[in-house]
Amino acid sequence: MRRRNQVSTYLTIVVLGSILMVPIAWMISIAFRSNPDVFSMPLQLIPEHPTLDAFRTVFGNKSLLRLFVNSYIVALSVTAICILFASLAGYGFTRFKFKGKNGALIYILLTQMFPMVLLSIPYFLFITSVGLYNTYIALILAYTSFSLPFSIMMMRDFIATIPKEMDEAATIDGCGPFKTFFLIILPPSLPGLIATGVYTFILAWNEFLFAVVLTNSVNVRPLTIGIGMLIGEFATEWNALMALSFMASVPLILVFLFLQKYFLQGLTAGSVK
Amino acid sequence: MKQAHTNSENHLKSSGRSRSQGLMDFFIKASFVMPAMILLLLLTGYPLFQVIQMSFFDYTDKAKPVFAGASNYEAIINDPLFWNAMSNTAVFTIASVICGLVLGLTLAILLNQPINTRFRAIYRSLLMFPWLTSSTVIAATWILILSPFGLLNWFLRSIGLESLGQTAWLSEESTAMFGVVLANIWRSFPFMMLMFLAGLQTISKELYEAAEIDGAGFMHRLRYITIPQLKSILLTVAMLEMIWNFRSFDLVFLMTGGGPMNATEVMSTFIYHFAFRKLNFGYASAAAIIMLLIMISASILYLRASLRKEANDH
Amino acid sequence: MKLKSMLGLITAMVLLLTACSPPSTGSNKVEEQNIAKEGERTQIHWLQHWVSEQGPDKINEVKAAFEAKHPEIELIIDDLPFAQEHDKILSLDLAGSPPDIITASGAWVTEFADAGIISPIDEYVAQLPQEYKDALEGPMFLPWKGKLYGVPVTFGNMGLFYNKKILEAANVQPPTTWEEFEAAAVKVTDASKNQYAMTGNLVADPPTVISYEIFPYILQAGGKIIHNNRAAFNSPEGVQALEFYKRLVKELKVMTPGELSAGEKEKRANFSAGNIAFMFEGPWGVAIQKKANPNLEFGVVPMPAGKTTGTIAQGSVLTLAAKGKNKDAAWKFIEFMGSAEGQLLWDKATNFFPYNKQTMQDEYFQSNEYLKVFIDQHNNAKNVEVIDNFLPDATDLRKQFTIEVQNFLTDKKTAQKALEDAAAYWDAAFVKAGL
Repeated sequence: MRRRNQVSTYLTIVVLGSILMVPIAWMISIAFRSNPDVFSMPLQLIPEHPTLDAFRTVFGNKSLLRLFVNSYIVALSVTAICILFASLAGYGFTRFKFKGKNGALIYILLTQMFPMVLLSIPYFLFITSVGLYNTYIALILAYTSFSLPFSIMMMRDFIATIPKEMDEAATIDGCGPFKTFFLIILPPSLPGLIATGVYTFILAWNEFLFAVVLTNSVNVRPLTIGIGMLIGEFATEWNALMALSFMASVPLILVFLFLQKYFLQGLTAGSVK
Repeated sequence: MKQAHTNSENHLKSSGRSRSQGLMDFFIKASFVMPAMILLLLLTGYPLFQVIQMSFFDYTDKAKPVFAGASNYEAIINDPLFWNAMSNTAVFTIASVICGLVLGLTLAILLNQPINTRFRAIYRSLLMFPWLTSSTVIAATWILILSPFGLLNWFLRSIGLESLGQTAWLSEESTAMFGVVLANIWRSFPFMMLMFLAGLQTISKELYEAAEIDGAGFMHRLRYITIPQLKSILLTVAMLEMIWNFRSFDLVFLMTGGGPMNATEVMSTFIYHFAFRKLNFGYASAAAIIMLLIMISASILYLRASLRKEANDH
Repeated sequence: MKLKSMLGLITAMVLLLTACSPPSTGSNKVEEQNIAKEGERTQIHWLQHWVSEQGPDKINEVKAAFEAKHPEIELIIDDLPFAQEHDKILSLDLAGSPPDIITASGAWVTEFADAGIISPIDEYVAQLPQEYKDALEGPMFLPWKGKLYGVPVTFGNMGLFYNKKILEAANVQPPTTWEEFEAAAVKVTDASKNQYAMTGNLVADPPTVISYEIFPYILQAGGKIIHNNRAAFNSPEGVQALEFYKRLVKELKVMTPGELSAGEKEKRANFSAGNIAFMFEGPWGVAIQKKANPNLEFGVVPMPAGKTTGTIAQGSVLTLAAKGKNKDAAWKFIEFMGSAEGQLLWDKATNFFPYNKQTMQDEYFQSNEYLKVFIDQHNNAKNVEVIDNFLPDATDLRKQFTIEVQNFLTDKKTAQKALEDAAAYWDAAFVKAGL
């Protein structure tokens, strides 16, 4: 009985998984075609004449490569800021009692409900009025606004799992709050830090709305918008678009694959009690 | 636990420190939470305040907004396009969340079965891919799949549904929402699957074993053990997804731009349209505030539950 | 604690709300012009969408040539994908920092002019040498509400592209009249082989297809699209054109199915895939096809003649941003790009088609088998109209027209009624624009 169930389980997973992976397979398939073959009839999953043309186009276009640089700079900056501020705040929230703590938490929960469009309007007006239009700083500020709340909650949940006895031991040894934080709390919260970092990085890398509203040129434009550069006035270079899309997803996939374990740990720390 | 905490606080206080040192203490402790909160207030509080302000002004002359009382709100309530966007958003959200939950839960249950660990890890990673790709990529891929000569139609035609297999899914009013929801489900299920998987792994195996001994079948176990045990995660995830999907912008904007003929216009694209195309900031801000209020009131339960959890844990 | 602090919070908010002024977008006053410092170059920004499509090298050639001629000016090229360009222009104008030179697609000119985003250029044009003015004369260079707004930089009219292989195999000559076109279309269509005469593309959004698919027929039937700032297509010629199109789609079935949802991009993709015999397309189509499928053998001939010869012409113009701070320098660039020399350089680099009459005579175009067809059509076709630049809210009007044609195709309205309704909509818009 067990055996049969197992086989049907494996089978179902494989079938369901394959169906769900079709769009990804399709993306890769298009990336390896020449332009006229994109809409070839009859449809084939595997292109008849696979070619690296699309990739050559992407690599040969300096503006397209610049997009990667932009995305990295912005995403890494936002991640660094969020990890720093969120871990400090997470420690503060779990260890100290102070007036307005509940209010602060309510506020953080509230901000997670802000529709992004709501913030995009004042951001646009503010950024243009102080001349920060089309700069990295504008993007970094905007992205931090929605990554920070979630990061704080995540770090808080995670640090809460670190027993307070450790704090006390440190205090008895004469450590002030800062020393306690850096020496006692930070090391075991590494999974939480990584989870927060990964999540923030992914969010920042994939962000679209603020990038549309706040950027204007290739110097600063991140990948999410840049991919749209291949949709021209008259025709769309689908193969190059898919090649670029695939290349844009690779960093995230790698980050996730290598840091999966920590990510899962950190993500579920709070919700599974 | 609480006792120990208070004790350590008292320990600091009663070790003969002066007032200024108490103040110093306060600053040190404040410097943990304050930076993040100040940053957050600057980045979200002030803009929110501005949006509330703008919603009460008339922005016909963009350089000189004129105070207009509640006229923006009035206009919105009477705008059929607004209600259209509301209903589209509701359809989009509910369809995406329900289908995503079912799909995520199914996959989580499947992956939680006693199968080879390597196999599980591989598939779990593979199935995360949709969540890892950016909206532009997802939109581009699904536009291709849903195009008249694309993959979906090819599949439909090959199973004999000729006429259905000629639909231009994203260009026809009746099917555009379906297309967009499909893409959205595809992008959201991985997160749900992951959360459920983690939750499933905390359910003690003894419960299942006991049930099996009693002769309970799969569906029975599902209904009476799995789902009740997962209740809190189910609610949390459902709530989170509702919130995220309600304010969803990227996919709709990129795949259909709200069209055709507003068939897929959701609240976010509606607001964007008025803010950045019609340049009517007052109107857009009012719509945004209404949207925020709706989201807050719909998630009051979630907020209360979260806060209760706060109080219990800390 | 809760209620009191909530009240306190709300009171504070209300006080703040009334005290602070809401964010706005800066002043409406005419910008003071920048005066370049001694020894420094004036910087001007040009917003366009061709760098992503063509690659930066070619565009930089033009930039280099311009800067060589005007060493006191530095040209900075801002690039945006076409799909985002229109909205971006609105935002930038709002933010008070538009690029000095705005590339305006034909259909945007009237919108930008009416919204005060671009300034009239009559004063500058008046100072041009007569020869230059003569070379610019033509359907793209007409005033809107009495003022000129842009210098054409890309241009073209619609011709008939055909797949050489398909025509040869079906033993068909490129058609020259409606009758020949109809006969040829039937001969080359074979649904079982997925081979069609044309891609049916009549999508309403974006409404660019009617310039290719419907308007030319109206002109070829001897009708007009607009006349004296009113719709003129609701005429017997208009009905004739619509019925000809419907015959091709519904009776003879020579077009790919799904015509209500396909657009110009699908048309081009299908043509390059090699299973479509004909397409109506502009000169930009030559470069596009060569890039999409270098192995495709295609030819170009003038559009088939109905009662007369006719075609639609359109293009993009370079305009001056109203809030720009370097108008004089910006004009120098616009002048350069519209001149015979500038156009030649630009078109050689981008494979676009010139508007400047002098440039059209250049050997480069006369000896190009494809481009010559467009030049001839431009000079010889009897009924050529440029529509986009002279419609108020062009995008919306075109969308309405397309929807009406769709209504006719799906038998919801007769051709006459569809055209009448569209005409009423257009006329209302003209009236509202004060024309």
